Amino acid sequence: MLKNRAAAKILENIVGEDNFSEDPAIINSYTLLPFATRMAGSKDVFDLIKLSAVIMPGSTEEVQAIVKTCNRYNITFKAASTLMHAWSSPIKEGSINIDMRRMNRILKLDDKNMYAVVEPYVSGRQLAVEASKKGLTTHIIGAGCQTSVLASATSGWGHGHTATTTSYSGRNYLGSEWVLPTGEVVSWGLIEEGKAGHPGPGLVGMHRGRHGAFGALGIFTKAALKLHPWPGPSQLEVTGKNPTPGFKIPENMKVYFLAYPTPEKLGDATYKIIEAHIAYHIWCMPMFFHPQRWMGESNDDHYEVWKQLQKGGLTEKNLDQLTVVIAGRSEKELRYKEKVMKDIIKETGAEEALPGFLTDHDMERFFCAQIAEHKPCTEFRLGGGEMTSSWGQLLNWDAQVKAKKAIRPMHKKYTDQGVLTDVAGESCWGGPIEQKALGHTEFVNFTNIRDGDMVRRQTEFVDETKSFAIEEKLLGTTGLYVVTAKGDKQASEHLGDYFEYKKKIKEALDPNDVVDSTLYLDFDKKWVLP
Amino acid sequence: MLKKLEDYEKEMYWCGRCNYCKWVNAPAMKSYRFSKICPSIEDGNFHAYSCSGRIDVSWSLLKGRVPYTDKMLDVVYRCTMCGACDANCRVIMGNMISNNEILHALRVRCVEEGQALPEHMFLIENMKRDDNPFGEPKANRGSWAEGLGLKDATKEKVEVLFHAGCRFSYDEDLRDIVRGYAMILNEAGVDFGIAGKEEACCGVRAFDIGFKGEMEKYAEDMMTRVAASGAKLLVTPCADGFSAFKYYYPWIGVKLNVEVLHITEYLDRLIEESKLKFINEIPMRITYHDPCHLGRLGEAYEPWDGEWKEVMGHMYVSEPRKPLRTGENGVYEPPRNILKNIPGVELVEMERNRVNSWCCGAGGGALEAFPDFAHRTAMERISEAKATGAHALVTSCPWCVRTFKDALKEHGDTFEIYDIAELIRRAK
Repeated sequence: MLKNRAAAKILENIVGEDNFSEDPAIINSYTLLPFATRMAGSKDVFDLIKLSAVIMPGSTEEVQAIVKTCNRYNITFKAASTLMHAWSSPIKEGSINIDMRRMNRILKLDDKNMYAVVEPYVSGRQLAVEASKKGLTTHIIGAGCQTSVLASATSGWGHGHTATTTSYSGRNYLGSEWVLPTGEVVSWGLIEEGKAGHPGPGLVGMHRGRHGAFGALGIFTKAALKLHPWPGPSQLEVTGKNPTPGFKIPENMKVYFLAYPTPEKLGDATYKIIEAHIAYHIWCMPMFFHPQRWMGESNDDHYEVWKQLQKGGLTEKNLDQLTVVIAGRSEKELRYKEKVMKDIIKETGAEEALPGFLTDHDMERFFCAQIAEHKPCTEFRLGGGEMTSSWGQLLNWDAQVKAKKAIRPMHKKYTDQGVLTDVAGESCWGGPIEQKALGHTEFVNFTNIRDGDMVRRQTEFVDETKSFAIEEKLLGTTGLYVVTAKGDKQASEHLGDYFEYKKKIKEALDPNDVVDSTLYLDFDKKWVLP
Repeated sequence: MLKKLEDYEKEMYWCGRCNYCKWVNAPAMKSYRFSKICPSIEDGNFHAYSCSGRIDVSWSLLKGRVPYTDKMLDVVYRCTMCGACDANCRVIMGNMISNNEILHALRVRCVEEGQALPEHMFLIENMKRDDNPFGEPKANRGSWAEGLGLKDATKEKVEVLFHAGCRFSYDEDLRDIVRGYAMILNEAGVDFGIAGKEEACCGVRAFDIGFKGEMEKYAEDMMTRVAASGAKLLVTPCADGFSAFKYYYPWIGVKLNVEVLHITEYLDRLIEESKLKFINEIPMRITYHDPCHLGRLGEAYEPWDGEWKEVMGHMYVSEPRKPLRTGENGVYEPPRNILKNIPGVELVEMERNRVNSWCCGAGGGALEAFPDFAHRTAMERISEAKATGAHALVTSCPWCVRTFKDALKEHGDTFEIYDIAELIRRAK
């Protein structure tokens, strides 16, 4: 409950009593968050977030009024859209959570100019199904199609499995309506008719950069997003049943599951495919996650499949695996791309991944999950509700190869000690962006998140990977440890101290420091792991 | 067996708050307009009104962080318990979280601590007194069958026991429908009987609002009645009753020891055996609404009393293997098969169909406690039906029929609503 009762009354009047709550039942439903324990370094999930209220605006005017009230009464706030994980909540005690759920419209879908304008609560899947009717699609981050496309573009990061052709979050960002921390509204780019244009990298770099400010610089009430050509039909035929249906792979698209004996070989293949400009999708997928995503429906299935793979000796070799999808607008184009793929497979010595194990329906489930639907991370169930990445970066493929080789023995050491789940040595996932040699790289790992000691040991592993990245100068621009401000600060020290600029930006835009910036700046608070 | 709220604490922790419980499973999503799956969050808006939110509320209740307030009880009860969240959670979390069970355990806890809603107490008092949720005299329960000359299953042996259910037994507007079903069975030469005034509620309405003892009582009662009838088959036109016999009773450990079929399954069987034929053409474009209790909640319950263990480091697997309850194994095709066999009928699907169906709003005690919410939910479904270009919505549950009709009246709108029996009778 807000201490200042006058402020509470004003906030309630702005949105109406149905859209403002200080009730413990309402508030607590926003505070129990996966990843929160990790950030808190505590077993008690209730330690982290203590909100005073939740408010749901229905318009930009209401957002403005809320923000101005928060400034007047010095109330910390943060906005959230589709509520994915701890990133969506303010952490400072007594804050209010601004739930953007009521602002949920697709305002424009311009197929001629290939962009859409959306409000915060539009999910990736909602936009994708409408865009596909016009031969287009949108970038959707790996967290899943149920997440906000606006939040992805304006405020966060995440790598989509089709990033080879649909780029990534911030690169698809063509304009926004932005309520600053002071309550002023800034509109730029393709938000309004006749206002096409881009303010240049300066403004976007300032308020989102590579990985976004995670809500620390105000509230985005509209965003214009670039759309991309979708080579498939507007309606795909569903195969199989819940919970893991597939899509019939269109005749003009083809899926490859490739395996290589070494990271170098995989790197060579990736370069060749990129250079040939033939892929719709390229993704480096550790073998461990195949059973989780499209070869089963539960951890039980995963375990059974994994035992079979072990029995077949497959978990001991060819750990470097690549999934590739090609698409042709004509039969001739498809045939050409197939021929090029065939040559690359021959030149690079690729073998079929998981021979004899992947069924046609598994391929359909893969196509559904990674290419068309953008299924949420089923890896969360592997980690009992969470997963963690060690340092994640935008890297060129040579750097990724280097990192893959270096991190395997580190991962194995912690696996042998019982800290990390055994992923047979390979935990790197990621893929190139925009047909370039640059791509996203992430090293995924799991531990027992209920055990404080295990979480601390896992952090040691992450620290080792960070030290390696710093020593080997493999730093890109995505924080060092998941995305906490602490990791960002550490990376910044080796990358021109950009963290200092973030502080200045924050001070300039938020003079009263009313927007929660835990994930953006305040790394030294008690809730972040030491 | 029924577990306590505490027993689900580990599962509560596993909710990754991916929010998938709010949306139509992505491969089945066809438009922005009909992309939502949970009536409760659509009405309540705050995250607490989703399954994920209710799991958070449950956990907070266990930890003493949430007192009973009017808002808290609104969160707990403003839900139709349609099971859509349960089916969707499988997509992401596999068999790890028993969503339906947690939601029921939360309500049971509220009732145990004296927090039932007054409207629900009224329903329970009616059930205690008259064995039906409406407070209608028990003696009148079998009067729907007057003049049909049906066998009294409490006095003579029958092959098939026909359980009419509360809504069909007492709702005068729906009387022709249930009588129609009986006539269809008669004309097909089925040896069946009813329990008349001895029939009682299945208890699902009570269990859904947290009164587990009431359903336990009715389950025992039903078991005795089935055994006494000598029936080999239990057939019901009530989706609630069907769900009780297939899902809820086995969940609380009661076995009826008889094959259970919904009337649409049985009639589909009669069509296959050429005992039910359609002669008259019904030139009508219709859409079919899947009742939750026939679909997602019509999937048979498989008990599990195992444990979770960590393998390969820290991956949780169940031992013995916990059944994966997907919602796909409910009754979806038999009613469609019947409709496709009726000459002239053109069946067009709504975007949200089968396991992805949108609820009518009648379940979970919502109709009794929050009729406005129930009717808004029903109107959302009618909008979807209209969007197909169909002239009528057909379903196979008396609660759905009642709620759709009442919602239309309440909202000053019109659309043709039928139980499938009405079309069958016209086609014969």
